[in-house]
Amino acid sequence: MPDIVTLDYDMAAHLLLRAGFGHNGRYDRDTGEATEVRDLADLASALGPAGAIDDLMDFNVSRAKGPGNLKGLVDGDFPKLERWWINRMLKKKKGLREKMVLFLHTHFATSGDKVGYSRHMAVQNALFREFAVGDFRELVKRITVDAAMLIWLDVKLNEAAAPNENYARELQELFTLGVYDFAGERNYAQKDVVRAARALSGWTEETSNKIIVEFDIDRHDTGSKVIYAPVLGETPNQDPANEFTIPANYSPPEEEYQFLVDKIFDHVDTEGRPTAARFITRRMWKFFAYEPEVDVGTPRADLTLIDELADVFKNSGYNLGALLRAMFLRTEFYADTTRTIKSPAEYLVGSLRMLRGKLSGEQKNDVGSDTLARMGQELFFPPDVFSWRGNEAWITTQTFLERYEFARNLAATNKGSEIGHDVYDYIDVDENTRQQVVNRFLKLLGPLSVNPATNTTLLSWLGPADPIDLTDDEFVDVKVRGLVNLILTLPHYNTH
Amino acid sequence: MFNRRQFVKASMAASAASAFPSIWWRARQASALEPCETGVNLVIVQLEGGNDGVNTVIPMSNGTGMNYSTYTTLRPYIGIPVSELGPTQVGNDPLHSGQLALHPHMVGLKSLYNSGNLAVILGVHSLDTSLSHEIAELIWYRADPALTVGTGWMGRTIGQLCAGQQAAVAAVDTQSELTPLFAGPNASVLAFDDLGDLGFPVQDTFGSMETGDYKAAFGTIHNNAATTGTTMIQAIGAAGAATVAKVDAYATANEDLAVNLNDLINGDANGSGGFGVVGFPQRFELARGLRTVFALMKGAQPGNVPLGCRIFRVRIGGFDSHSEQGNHIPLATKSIAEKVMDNNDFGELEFHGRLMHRVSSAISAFWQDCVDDGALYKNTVIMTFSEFGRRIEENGNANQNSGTDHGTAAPMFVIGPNAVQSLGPTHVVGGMYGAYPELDQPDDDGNLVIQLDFRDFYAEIINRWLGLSAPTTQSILNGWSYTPQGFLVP
Repeated sequence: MPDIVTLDYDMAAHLLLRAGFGHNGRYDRDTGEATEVRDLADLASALGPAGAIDDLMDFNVSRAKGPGNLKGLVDGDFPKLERWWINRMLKKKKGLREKMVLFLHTHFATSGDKVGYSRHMAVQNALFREFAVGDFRELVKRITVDAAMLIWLDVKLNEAAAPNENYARELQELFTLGVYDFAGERNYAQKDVVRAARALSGWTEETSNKIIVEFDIDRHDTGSKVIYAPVLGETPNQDPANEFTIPANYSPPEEEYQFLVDKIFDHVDTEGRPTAARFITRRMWKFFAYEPEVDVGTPRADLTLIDELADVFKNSGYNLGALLRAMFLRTEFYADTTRTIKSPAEYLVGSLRMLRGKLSGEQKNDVGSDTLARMGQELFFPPDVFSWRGNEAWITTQTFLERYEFARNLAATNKGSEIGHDVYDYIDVDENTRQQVVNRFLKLLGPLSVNPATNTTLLSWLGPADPIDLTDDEFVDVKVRGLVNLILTLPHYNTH
Repeated sequence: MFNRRQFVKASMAASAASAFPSIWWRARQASALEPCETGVNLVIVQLEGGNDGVNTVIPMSNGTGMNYSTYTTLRPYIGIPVSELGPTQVGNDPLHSGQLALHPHMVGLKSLYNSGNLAVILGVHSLDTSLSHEIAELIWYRADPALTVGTGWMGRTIGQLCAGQQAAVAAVDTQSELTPLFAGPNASVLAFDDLGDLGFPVQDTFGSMETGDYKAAFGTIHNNAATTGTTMIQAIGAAGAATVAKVDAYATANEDLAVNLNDLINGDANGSGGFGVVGFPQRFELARGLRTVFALMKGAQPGNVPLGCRIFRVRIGGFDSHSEQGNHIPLATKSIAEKVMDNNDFGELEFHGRLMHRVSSAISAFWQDCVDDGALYKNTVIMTFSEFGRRIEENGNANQNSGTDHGTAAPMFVIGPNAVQSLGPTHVVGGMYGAYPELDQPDDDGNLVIQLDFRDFYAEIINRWLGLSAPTTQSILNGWSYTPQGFLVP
């Protein structure tokens, strides 16, 4: 059975971490458990895992967009927009929604660098929120004529007289199909990019008081376009059934791009599988679980997994919610919790959530545009079209330093300062052994299972022997907070 | 708020493939090299804000062109009179043969020109440019005018030099945040602005007695993780373990060893050459950065164990001289009051001229320290760059308010060992390279037309100084096919 039949405490904690940003830090001192995790596990006992997962995904379509619904947002005020979004990640009960917004932002990597307008980026961000668990194919259509995207990938420059291929290429390469399928064969040829560009021509974007996106028939190439015909030098094994023609004078011309997108989703790869479904599923699994092994030339250990999920995705009409649900029900999702390195957003938001940490003043202002940027993930500013690569790419000398600096500040100070947490929330002053304290925090911040050597090191940090005195303020302030700091810097804590 | 503490943290290596530098270099090094040491040092000096190239290398005569005449016409106030340029005259313009001089306050660099250690590369920029600081800077950092690649050219270079070397620190950026220059696939780069601040990030946080215990615990956990668990865990473990191992060594680097730089920084009321008084550290931003670099190049104390880091970036800001760029006051006539005024970053006297002096005096003092070392001058190259030059014509009303707006091409400097001095075969060939852009033939914005693509400038350094192969160099520069210029000769 590929699907889980139970969802115990540990699995529930992992689910809250991956399908969101971690539990909300509320704690039952008697059981030593995070109450949100316990509630989810209990729900799964009552309704079955599927029921619990449905509850995680039970939220209304949200069109929330920007601080004060953008009324307060001065153009160019990216820090304010970033803080607003991070606040949603920190505070929202159902973490999955903002997690999906983060996935879509990573996927459709559009950078404020080139777009320039924070309002445009906020509108795009709202589009992702609207479609967080919605129809992905429809989202691709909507993003094609999104104002920020029009600027980012030069869609607004693309006209019949002067075609610009940028979006036509990235639409296929990065957003839907990928250059190569799992068998290493090209999915499309240069001709297809050129002709898709012609189909996408004619859109303009203007910003004055409002963002205005319009279709201009005079700039649109109305000729017929033959797309995905096999090309000997590039796509010799292209399935001939992929070929389609957009007739000349397609009517209505402003919907020609939608026809193009529908046809892209019909593309079948050289192994006879639905290309877009496979491509998106692979991306989603990488973001939520781990980088799957599916390519020819590897043992392809995850091929069946990805193909089964891709079928669910396709059959649901490319519904992201359906795909997520299927993903979260797989045993593979829970198998190993150290295969992916947490992104800066996950590290920062998760740590704050799980310790009920507080940010205020300069730290609150800093955390958005600056702290995450220094960790290597400035929201709204992915480094380029290939986006944040994730995993190893998060680790450099400087970015890990920033994590540890942040962790030190969160661990070492109390809530009254600009950043801190209340360590007394999580200890029982009547306890007097080191292992009890260690266990509490390993469970709270994970649960993390460490090997005996690491456990010994954590114990030794607290002291050479038991008993310890948790009523001693200084001991708690130095040693217990130091323990929290050590755990926040564990290699295991940096992965999930 | 806690003080920023920095520590060394190596990054993960993606693959085992690496491009080894030439055998000759490695063979000549006596001591054991750190894994990705090339055997040569490279110091990158960034002039931030857009340096006015036309007042850095200045026309003295027309030659077959119109540069001198145009200069005097378009720069009535900020222009430097030719009567002041004799002492710093360098070579002629390769294009129109007009005589050229360095800014008169660049006495130190002129001396390096005389000894064959300075190459002046004229008219350098990107064809696809921007007049925005941020965008232009990104173009220069990434060596990518189209801005489609998110890594820095030095990040990619280090990625090639250090592939497979998780524990090495390849470069140091002497400011508290890592510049995009170093963004790369597995760039192990340390960034800090104060060597005295270097320490493990929990110094004193949990009580001064606990720091050692904390570091030990951190080190034990990471060393353990480096050999157990998943690939991800091992990678993080290795990086953390390397950090704890390195931090103590780096903290021992001794800035007192940079005698000439310290003399410059701690100068008396007259200063060196009359530029200011003690107690105004902002004047010596570049000198302090180079002092740190020198200390790191000398290595950990005692016994000068090499720290393994060979690539450095320093910076000096203030070049955005839109207004009050200042005219020229000959050194001999400077009053004490004027010298005191020089301490201020903003003022009406010689704003740009003071920057020229700071760049020249800091680099020369650094070079002298390398020479006095007896070894470091033989394998160290310094290169300068700025995100763009400035407008040909001065703005304003030909008075002390005049300045220059954002521009394009500008000269770059490369300083290094000449043929006699160099440890290895590669050496600097002093002289003039590129071409002086024609001041009377501006582009539509009134800016200089570029004469040399900046990627040719970078390529020569990557290929000839750092020893990476031509195909690797080309791939680092996103396919740019480079034309050797000759300021570095293998």
